[in-house]
Amino acid sequence: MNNKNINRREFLRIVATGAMSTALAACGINPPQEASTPESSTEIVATSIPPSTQPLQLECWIHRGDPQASAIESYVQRYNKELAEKGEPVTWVTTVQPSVIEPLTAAFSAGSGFPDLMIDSTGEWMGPFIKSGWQVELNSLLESVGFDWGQMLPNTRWQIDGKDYFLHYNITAFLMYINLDHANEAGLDLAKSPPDTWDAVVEWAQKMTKTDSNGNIVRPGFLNLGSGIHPAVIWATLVEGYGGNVITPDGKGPNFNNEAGIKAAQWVLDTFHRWKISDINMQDRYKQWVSGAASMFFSGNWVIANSIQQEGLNFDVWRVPRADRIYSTCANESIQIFKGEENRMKEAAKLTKWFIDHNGEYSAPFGDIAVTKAAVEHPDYKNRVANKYTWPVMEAYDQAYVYPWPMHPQGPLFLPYSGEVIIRNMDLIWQGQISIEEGLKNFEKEVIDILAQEPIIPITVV
Amino acid sequence: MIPALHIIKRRLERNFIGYSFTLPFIILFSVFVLYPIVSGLLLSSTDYTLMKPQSSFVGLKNYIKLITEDNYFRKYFINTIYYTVLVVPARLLLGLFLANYVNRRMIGFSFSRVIIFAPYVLSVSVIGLVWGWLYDWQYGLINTTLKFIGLSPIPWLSTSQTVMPALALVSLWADVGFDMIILLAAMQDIPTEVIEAAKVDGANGWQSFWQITVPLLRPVIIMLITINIISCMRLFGLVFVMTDGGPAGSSMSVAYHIYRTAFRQGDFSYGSAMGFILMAFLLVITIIRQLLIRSDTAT
Repeated sequence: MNNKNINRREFLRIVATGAMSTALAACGINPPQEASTPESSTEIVATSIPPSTQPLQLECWIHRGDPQASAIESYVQRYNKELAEKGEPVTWVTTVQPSVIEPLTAAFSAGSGFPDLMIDSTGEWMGPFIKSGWQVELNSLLESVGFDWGQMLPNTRWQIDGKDYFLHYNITAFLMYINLDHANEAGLDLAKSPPDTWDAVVEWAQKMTKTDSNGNIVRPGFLNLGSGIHPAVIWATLVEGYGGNVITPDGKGPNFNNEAGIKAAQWVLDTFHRWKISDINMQDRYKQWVSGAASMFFSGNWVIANSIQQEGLNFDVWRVPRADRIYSTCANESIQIFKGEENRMKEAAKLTKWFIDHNGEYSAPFGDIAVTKAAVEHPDYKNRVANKYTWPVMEAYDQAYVYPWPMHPQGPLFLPYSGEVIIRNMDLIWQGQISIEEGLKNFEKEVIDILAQEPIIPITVV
Repeated sequence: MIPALHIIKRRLERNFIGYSFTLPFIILFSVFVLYPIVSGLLLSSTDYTLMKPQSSFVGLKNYIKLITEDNYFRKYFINTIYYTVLVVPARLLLGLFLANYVNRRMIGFSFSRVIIFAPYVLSVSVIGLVWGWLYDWQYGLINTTLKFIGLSPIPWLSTSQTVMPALALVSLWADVGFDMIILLAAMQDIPTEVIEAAKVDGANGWQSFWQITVPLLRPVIIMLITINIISCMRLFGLVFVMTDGGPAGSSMSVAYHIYRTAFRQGDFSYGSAMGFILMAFLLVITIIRQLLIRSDTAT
């Protein structure tokens, strides 16, 4: 071995150079190189290849639960296959994201890392990304690939200042799920006397509720929870039903710290304590519903697929109950495209168009509701089992009593229906820690403070 | 040259090679620890949010708001302290008991050691999911057993009164193995002569444990208390997986609130300020621990 002695200075120089190069490499910075020739530079190599022959890999995030997430993945794979058969050098990579708020926020901060396209669940918290321009307007982009907006069914488009940022592939609305075995057992007939009002819901639930010898509920007639989004949504629906608003239609202020809000909150509390039709300690509403642990369940059409698939669950549905007026909220599922190079956005638009072209076929196995005229005529969609259960949603759209969940430019915390603000205030009422009046007053104050910073983004349903 | 500088220069020269070997650590520490801390500190003195990347300097405004106005932060801090108070003494006492049991080499001690330590290696997500099912109000194994033996079921995760004790119980189950192993190692370091001398002097097992073993374990116990307090104050995973902070925010921890503020609400500067308040609190705990250890060494 040829040992070479190095002095301290030389040793330090070697260590420092090595460490500095490592640090620079980690930061993505190329250390200065000696005598680099133009021929060896990566820039020249890159420009020598025509851009069209370069394979393009694009990223599609899927923000849905199963079974829809797996289905969407398989559709994107099918699209990839079609592209490959046509010889187009484009490939889509899919990532199922259980939560997209955090990665999108990280991408926003870094200024990069957004997907090219996102097939989303609810998009009501996308306000910050629309406002900042990262989520792009779809109209001209989709038209450039031959998308026909005229094929969309009425009331399925949300527009902000006359522009579409979301392309819905499934519309939603709330409906009442009823366990028919429990109803039959209680001598209730859905065809003869359906629970059309919230008062009727109480009567039905009282007849179906089962208690033990000590009066403890063993099977609630109406599925309600003592915290979280579920009681908040029931309350919000009732507020609107009684003539109030969580946020006024102009998006500028609350209108619930009044008789409508109090009445609605009292209704929710009475389900636990007065009528004893709900069990305040229940958790995981979806699991409870499909397992037959409760008789009536107020939720959206996203529960249809799992309810059909659940062996032994004999159920039917009814429209949203009426208070003084009928009102339903919706959180439609949509495709969103993010700002990027022009060719990438165009490819995203192509996939969007392709997916909507297959909307009927895609929606058929689920309770998802198709959005185009052609899709509802697709034989698979027309003959599917789920159609028996989707009529309340169709009716809500036809009769236009369904409204989008308000969207705030500052993001999900401030969503009046599903954000933390409503939950952290209303939970205290459900948990009996403060009075209804006090809870509504606190919630109102927070909403006023939030809206003083920025109003709700106005959405027009087209 | 000034004598002090001369001494420093000489010392540097003498230890030159030694210092240079620490360079990789210093670089990594600077990039991945020091830089984020300094950057977070600067961030906390701005009004940077997701929607306002062009931030401006606001000085201590975020800190003042947190301490004087933010009732939620106060509530979540108290929640976290409550959880810490539930977990830390229980972990230590149970850890002591288990370490003593294993140390006595009774029947099945080797198997018990493995069983007790095993949950510690599980990921918090797995623990959260499993215990979420165990705690289920209607179908959970715990409530089913309670009903079977004629007791009322407990709404573990759905009332403000029970949710934190329920999470504390999970933490106790999952982490007590760590305390046991550390205490066991310390117990095995105690010279047998000391215990035997106590026996000769007429101490029974109980007296020898409390008056000989425990005092000799004091430095380790102080270290464990500090580690456990820090770990409890950083409570995140169980809340994220099992409760999402509910019901009524009664299981919301400071760390989870920081995460929600920064990454869901996009308010990075306010989230950073919360992080620094938590860090300052933990720093105080660590300093107290250092002082206690120093006083031990002095005596």
